[in-house]
Amino acid sequence: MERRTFLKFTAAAAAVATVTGCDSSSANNPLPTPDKPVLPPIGEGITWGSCATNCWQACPLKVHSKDGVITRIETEGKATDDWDNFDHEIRPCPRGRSMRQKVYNHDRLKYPMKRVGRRGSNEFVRISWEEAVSSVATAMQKTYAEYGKNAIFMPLGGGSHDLNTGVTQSSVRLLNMAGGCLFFHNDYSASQYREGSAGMYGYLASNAGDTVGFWNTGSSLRSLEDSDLMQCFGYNPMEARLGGAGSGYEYLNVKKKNNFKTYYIDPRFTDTAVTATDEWVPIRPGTDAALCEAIAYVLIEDGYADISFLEQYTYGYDKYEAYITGAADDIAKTPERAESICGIPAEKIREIAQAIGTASAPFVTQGFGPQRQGNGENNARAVMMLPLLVGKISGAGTNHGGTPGNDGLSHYAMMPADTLKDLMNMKIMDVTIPAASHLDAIEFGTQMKPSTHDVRYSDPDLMAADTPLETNVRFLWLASSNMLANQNGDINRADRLLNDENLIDFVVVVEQHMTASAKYADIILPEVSWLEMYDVIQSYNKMDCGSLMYAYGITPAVDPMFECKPAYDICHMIANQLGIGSKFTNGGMTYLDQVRKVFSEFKKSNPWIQGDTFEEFVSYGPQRRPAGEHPNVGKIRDFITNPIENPLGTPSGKVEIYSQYFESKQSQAEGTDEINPLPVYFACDESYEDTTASEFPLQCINYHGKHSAHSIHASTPWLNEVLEHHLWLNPIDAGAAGVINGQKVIVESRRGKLEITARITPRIVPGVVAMPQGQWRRMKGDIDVGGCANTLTDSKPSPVAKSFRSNTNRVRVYSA
Amino acid sequence: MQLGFYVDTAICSGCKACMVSCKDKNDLNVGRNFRRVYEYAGGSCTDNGNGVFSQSVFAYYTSISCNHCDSPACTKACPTGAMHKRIEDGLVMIHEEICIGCSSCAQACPYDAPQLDEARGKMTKCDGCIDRLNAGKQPMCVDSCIHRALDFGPIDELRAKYGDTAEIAPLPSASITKPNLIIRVHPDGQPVGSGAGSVVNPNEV
Repeated sequence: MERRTFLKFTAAAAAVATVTGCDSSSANNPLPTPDKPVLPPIGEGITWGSCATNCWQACPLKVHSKDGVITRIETEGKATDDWDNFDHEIRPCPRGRSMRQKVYNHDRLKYPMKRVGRRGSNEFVRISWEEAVSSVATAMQKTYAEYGKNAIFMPLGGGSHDLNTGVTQSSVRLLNMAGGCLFFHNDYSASQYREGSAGMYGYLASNAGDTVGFWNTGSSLRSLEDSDLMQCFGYNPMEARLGGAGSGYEYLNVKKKNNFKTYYIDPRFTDTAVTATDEWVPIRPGTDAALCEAIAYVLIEDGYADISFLEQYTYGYDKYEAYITGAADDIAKTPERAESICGIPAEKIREIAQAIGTASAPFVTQGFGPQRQGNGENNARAVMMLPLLVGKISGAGTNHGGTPGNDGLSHYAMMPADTLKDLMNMKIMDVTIPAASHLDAIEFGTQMKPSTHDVRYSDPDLMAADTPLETNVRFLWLASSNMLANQNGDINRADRLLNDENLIDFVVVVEQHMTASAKYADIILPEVSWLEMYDVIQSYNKMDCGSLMYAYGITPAVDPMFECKPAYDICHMIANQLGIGSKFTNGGMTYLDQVRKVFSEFKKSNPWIQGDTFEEFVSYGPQRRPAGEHPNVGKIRDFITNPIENPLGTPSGKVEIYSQYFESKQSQAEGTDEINPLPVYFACDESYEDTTASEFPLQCINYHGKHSAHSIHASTPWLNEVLEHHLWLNPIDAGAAGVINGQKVIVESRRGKLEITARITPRIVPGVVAMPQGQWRRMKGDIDVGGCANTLTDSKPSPVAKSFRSNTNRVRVYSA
Repeated sequence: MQLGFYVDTAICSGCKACMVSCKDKNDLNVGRNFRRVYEYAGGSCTDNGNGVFSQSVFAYYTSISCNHCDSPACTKACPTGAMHKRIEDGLVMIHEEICIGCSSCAQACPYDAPQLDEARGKMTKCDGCIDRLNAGKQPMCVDSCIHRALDFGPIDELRAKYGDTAEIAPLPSASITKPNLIIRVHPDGQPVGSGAGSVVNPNEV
């Protein structure tokens, strides 16, 4: 499979603008044009800021300040608010509204610091910037000399996710120019979906210059206006994508306009189901593929399957049909067989199947919860089988069964390199590991190979020779990343590894707050907050963020606080120490120069944007237009129109029900894992059916709640008050555990124990507990009283994508 | 003229943007919430004994601030006259200089609108964002609602537009204080006094 990376900076100017025409009716209030840096206001003033929080919404914040102090956040203040005509106000969710407390926060990092206690002990002393950057540069040089570039690893980070000139881009620029590092492919969030969907469809949109296109997202939620049925598998936009112009609000509007029947298939009665209403179908976590097999059985047995379509457009239907009907293994995958696995009554399964079979335009979709499982690749594929079986993956009101999407802005962030050629040949790209496997790379990197751990080399000879990594990871660079000891699986394991002086030489953290991972730093470099930055901000419509495309520029509301610096300046200081200062600044470009350059690239790719300079762009505020149809949808339509002329990117050129990509991965299965070319259900370890885990009777899932898309807002007091961190517990399980609503409970898995407040609610199926992920680990003895979900999760990778199986956990719950 | 709020419980997702924007605008510490979102849930999701589920679950959110009632319990309970109802717009306000922070009003209000500022020993509450109203804007909570579930204005106009329902479980009966509140009832909305569900988020309000 073609090697791909996932970072928006690989982006590129190559993605020439696909938009034409210009109708920026909303940008109706241009201010006089300054051509000077937009400085924080003196006296009372308003600036544009961003909630760059890695929920992908990137909501604009109208920041009011007075005498150098932020006083409040206001809504955009648009004169019109018209969703139908793509001209509605982008209203931030509570995360954006609470941004003042993220800036003025008890956990803000104020000065450079060095560690004096055990890693993770939070014992630091203040040092000078000179000492800090010199220590980092010296440690980098030592690592390069002793172990080579692949001993340095930069984990995925979300702290500057929605920025384009933030700490991720600055760090990549520095590491690339300094000599490179080991990097990652895929991510923590949706790799099982991506690899699963790619196993069926190939990567739909070309990835050249388009790093979010290959998420294989599908039809716009707006196309539900033409649907007569929606089936949501773990799809919950009113919690996961609640803010701004996002898909939560979009779904609410489209559901109002066209009241199609919706089944919400989810272990939780989600806020999407509460708000848009219709039917909740409770399911056990990790059993979506079992349900889909039974639905497929009905579709085939009752004659709803479109056989001529399947013969023309798919590969391996015969094997699939034999598996489903039992011709292959004497086990018919009937609703009666599935009901005790997934918990859904056989008659309800038949009803759901018949709904798909009789719908003229079914819109089947999924969120990322079902795929975040030990069998997640197959859950993702199994859901995508449903519209395929009835031959309705293209056309008005349909979807291919994956996550929704729209066309998006062209990406442009050229900051990591100075030219497109440089960008495509960065030294960080030649060796990558799956994003979720860095703990393995610390512990036994030299045993990790392409054939076993999905190590990827750009050099085909190294791939062909199944070359192991040349070194373990010994140096960690955290660019606003909490993916070291909080947001990754099994953080108690992370704690053990990070405190082994034989394994880890150096940890540098560039951050805004003292996160759980920052506590493991050897050197802390404090970065300015989002409201102290310049940047070019854009919407991410290709990734299910609604169909309103927007962009705006941000400028500091206040001067950098304490001794904090922009990440570009921090990396520049280190570059100076390494003797590459001039190269880093491309001959003297400042942070603001880089922002202006990014804007100029952005403007070339998106000529509808008003403003010829960055400063002018800022003065317009958020500019917007309809996002249009995702190129993936066109690609599927072309394939349907002429499959010979327009083959998919799979080995057969067809939709691979029998995936040759999965077939090629079969040697990588470990233990109870199963890698099957067909999208079959299997019971992985710690699933509902794992009988060896009987001392942990409950399944535990964690979701992206309204408080924190990831862990970025964990220290915001207002959010912790109004969106309490809690564990959903069905009254039946609460009774069994002797727990009452609001009391503290211990949740324990094989990996660790955490303390959390119990919320007893009928909104969760019995036998399952659920908690929002994203709080910071805080240990008291052997109990995480911070309640970080990853105290419970495993770092074992999923079978194919080698990614995070955060929803596959068996636990027990008892009173604290 | 009498001002009041409209709350659409059918489309509120409980995101709490209204609560947080109110706290931001009014500099409210943790523990003081001029607006509160109650999550009311009931029914059951059970295992039929054979590993198969059945469910009858419902849930909805109700965002409530001060209802600037026609017959406010708070003003009656106030021993100093600090809590008063304005003639010109019907807003219930506090004369801070004569408030003694005794919390009688907070105990009397069935909606929990008065919120004591313990640091200053003064009662505080929703003032309808009077500064914003004077500037021709809507209250902060209304402008911040992602789903456009809130509205505010002259209650006669709102009632003409939205009807005159003023109660839903878990709120008290509207007969007690005659709130200037209009509720659009969620499809699963339960009548006042219903025992069908309970407030499951007491720590958040």
